Amino acid sequence: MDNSEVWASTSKSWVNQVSREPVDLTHCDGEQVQFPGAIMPHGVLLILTLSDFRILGASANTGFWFGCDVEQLLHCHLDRIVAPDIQQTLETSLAHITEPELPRYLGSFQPAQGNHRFDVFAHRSCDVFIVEFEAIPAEVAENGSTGRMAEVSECISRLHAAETWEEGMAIGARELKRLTGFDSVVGARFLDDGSFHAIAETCESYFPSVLDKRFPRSDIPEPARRQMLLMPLQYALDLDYEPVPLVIADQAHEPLQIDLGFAVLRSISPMCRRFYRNMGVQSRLVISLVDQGELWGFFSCKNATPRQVVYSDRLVLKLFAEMSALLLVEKERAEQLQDALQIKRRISKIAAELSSADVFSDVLIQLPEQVLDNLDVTGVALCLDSKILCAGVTPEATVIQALISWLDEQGQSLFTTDRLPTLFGSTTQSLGQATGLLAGCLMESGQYILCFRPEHVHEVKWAGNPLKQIEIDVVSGEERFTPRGSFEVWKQEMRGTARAWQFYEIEALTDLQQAVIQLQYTENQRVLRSQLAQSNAELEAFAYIVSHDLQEPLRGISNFAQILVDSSSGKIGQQELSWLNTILNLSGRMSHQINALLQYSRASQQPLVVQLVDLNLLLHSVLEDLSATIKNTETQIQISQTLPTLACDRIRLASVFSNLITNAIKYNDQAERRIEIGCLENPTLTFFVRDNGIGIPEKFYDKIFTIFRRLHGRNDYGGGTGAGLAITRKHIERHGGCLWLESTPGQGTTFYFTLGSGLVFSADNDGDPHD
Amino acid sequence: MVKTIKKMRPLMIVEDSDEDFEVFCWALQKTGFTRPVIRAESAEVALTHLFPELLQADRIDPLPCLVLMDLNLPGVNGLQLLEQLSKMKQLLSIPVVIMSTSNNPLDIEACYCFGAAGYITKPFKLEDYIEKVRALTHYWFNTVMLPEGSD
Repeated sequence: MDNSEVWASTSKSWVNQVSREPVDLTHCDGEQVQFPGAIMPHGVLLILTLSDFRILGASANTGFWFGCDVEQLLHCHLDRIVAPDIQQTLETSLAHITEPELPRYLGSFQPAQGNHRFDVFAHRSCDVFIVEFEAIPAEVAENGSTGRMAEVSECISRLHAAETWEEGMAIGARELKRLTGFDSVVGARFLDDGSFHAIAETCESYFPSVLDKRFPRSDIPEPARRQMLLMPLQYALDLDYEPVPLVIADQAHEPLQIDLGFAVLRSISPMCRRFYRNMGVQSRLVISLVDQGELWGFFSCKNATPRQVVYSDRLVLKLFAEMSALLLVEKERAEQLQDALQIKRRISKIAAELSSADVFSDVLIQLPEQVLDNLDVTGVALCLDSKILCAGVTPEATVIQALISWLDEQGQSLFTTDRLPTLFGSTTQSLGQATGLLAGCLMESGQYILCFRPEHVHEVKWAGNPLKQIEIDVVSGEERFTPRGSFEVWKQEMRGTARAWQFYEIEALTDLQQAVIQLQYTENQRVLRSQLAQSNAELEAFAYIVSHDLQEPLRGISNFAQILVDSSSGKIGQQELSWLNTILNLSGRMSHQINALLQYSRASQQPLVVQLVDLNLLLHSVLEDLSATIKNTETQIQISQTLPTLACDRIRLASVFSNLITNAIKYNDQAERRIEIGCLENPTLTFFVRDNGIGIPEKFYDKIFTIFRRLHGRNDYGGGTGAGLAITRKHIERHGGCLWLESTPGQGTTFYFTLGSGLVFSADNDGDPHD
Repeated sequence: MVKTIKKMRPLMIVEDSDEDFEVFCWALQKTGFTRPVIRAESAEVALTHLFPELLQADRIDPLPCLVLMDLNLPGVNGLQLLEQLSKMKQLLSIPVVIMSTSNNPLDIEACYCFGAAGYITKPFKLEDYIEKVRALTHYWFNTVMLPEGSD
């Protein structure tokens, strides 16, 4: 038996009481679909108080289903409708519902009056319980759930075997048609712009086919989408119904304020009904496919006549839908990941090549071609300052320059668009056909890697003209937006955009961008280092040349002054002779200083001659050379430890020891001069020369290492040019070591030095770790 | 440019600095040196003199018995000249002594490698300089024998 006609006739009497919403698309997105204040007629909805389960309101059709008018039920308990034991059961169940959530199934019951059985659901909505009684048609036999489950299990296995997600959708649609017996099942996938695409369809011939057609976003307005997420399965037995209004006793509640978002019997938006009726649909079942809280797609089942799907069947379908969503999404993702993985692997290889490259420019010259070969793009440009390296089809250099300035204004390190001409304000032609742009900024502004894609001209088959929604209202003669009456294919050529950039393509560019930036950074460091090295080398060469060339005229001055002294004896006075001698003294001093400068620059310029040196022998020979001074000053020399044998430049190290020991003797006014020489092993090998001399105030620690810097009068402490410590430090630095001191004025000074490890000594004595 | 006294093979000095040459002559005179001295201001002039065949010219001056050479010369420097001379068999009998301000060990080693017969650093003090010149002339002209055969 089909109740629909009966319901339709009984519902007519409420027509005037229901608020009739005008069918108008302009306010669809704002429509409060979960507050219709009415339900579908194939059941009864009761509103109960939270505290004592009294009936606060009910749908106006209780007389038809329960044989008891709404007015008689208000303020009563459930025992007005069902037997006391059932009332007890229902109330116990209700007491367990504490949160607003999807309706809970309480069981199937038969009221005290009437012949109908009902599936009963309950949920909380704000401050009331909503209890729904959905009529079970008499002819629906208790079918064993085992058989149903077995059927669904087989369906899922078939879906699982699908090669692609599109094939999976086709299988899903076919299986759903079989399970539900509906005339038409369409499987659709939502696209990024909110429109949706009918991927699969199983359809009786008398239904218009929508297969492979696109539907605009407005066909499922925002509230309907929210509802699809809220209720993954929505069912309407007969769309051609008169809504049954709610009647409420309590002044505090208005029917239109009762949230029926979760209600199974919620009356469907008039807009939506009109949409389906335009297609000739009377019964519909929509199963949402949800992926991580987002609408992924849906199956829409349509029937030309009312078609009963009872709760137990819907339950099984919901299970099928949830499994399908998991499988389909997983299949789609796997396909995408395969593409992504392939691109990722190829791009990683290029990035790795970049980062291991020695010659900056060589690898970058190849880069555009490599990117062109490995990404789905038609042109690549690498813009480094004034240089633009291109591969494939790209805009002209001047346009690229303009584009770069424009990108700099955008100020994003990564920029993507599929409609560059619109954003850039230019024609596709002047952009060299580039419509899609994926741009990554490199180390400095004005430096970019740009990937171009052409316009993707393609045809979309809309299900009817999506723009043409104006119809003349027959009654009022006014223009208004109404759902389309026709779903005849309406072809639209899509222009102005490129294929959208996929997440993995964007990731690939980011990887490349990082690799190039890293390379640029390394290159910058290298250039700076070599500039610094060159500048240092030039400075040292300068010092060498200057000191050498100055020596020559100075010698001339000195020589001729001497010749003058020799050849003028008796001819000039004492005063003149004294002046000539002053010239000789000054030029002698200058010669010493130039020599010191020469030594100093030689210390930095000439390569180290590294060999294994027994430092004990070396020190011994240094002391031998200084023996006259040591003897004259009666200096006590103590060598604390046996010194190691290590790789170093013998001559330089001898100079280091000689200089430090000479200083230790010179700057000492003690009656008994003592010098201790030794080395410490912890943590690194450190040599020291310790004296009991005059010491150095801490503020002079730095200055003593500056060339020609003296702390004392020119002739105090035996005089000297003031270059010794500068040269000594240079020798030690050339070994990769450091020289420093500790001193207490009046008590003595200790100079410490280390020699860098890792000096390479070669048999032919020309190894130099620094050159 | 070239002073010659017949019969005795001259001492040749390659020196670009007039002052240094003057001081050198003064020092020679102090030590009582009497041989003819010829001077070349550059490596090129020296080469022309020592080996006129290079320019298809005729020899006008006798070959020197000893060459004193500065290292720091304009154009082709002393070391390069020394290298060239070391490759000319005809000239191997003439000792070349380097006189330089440089005491750079690398210079000294390089000169001996190219066949220098000695290396003298020019001392700064004139009296030291005279002493060195005296020792030099004493060694080459009073101690050892130089090739004196006519060319």
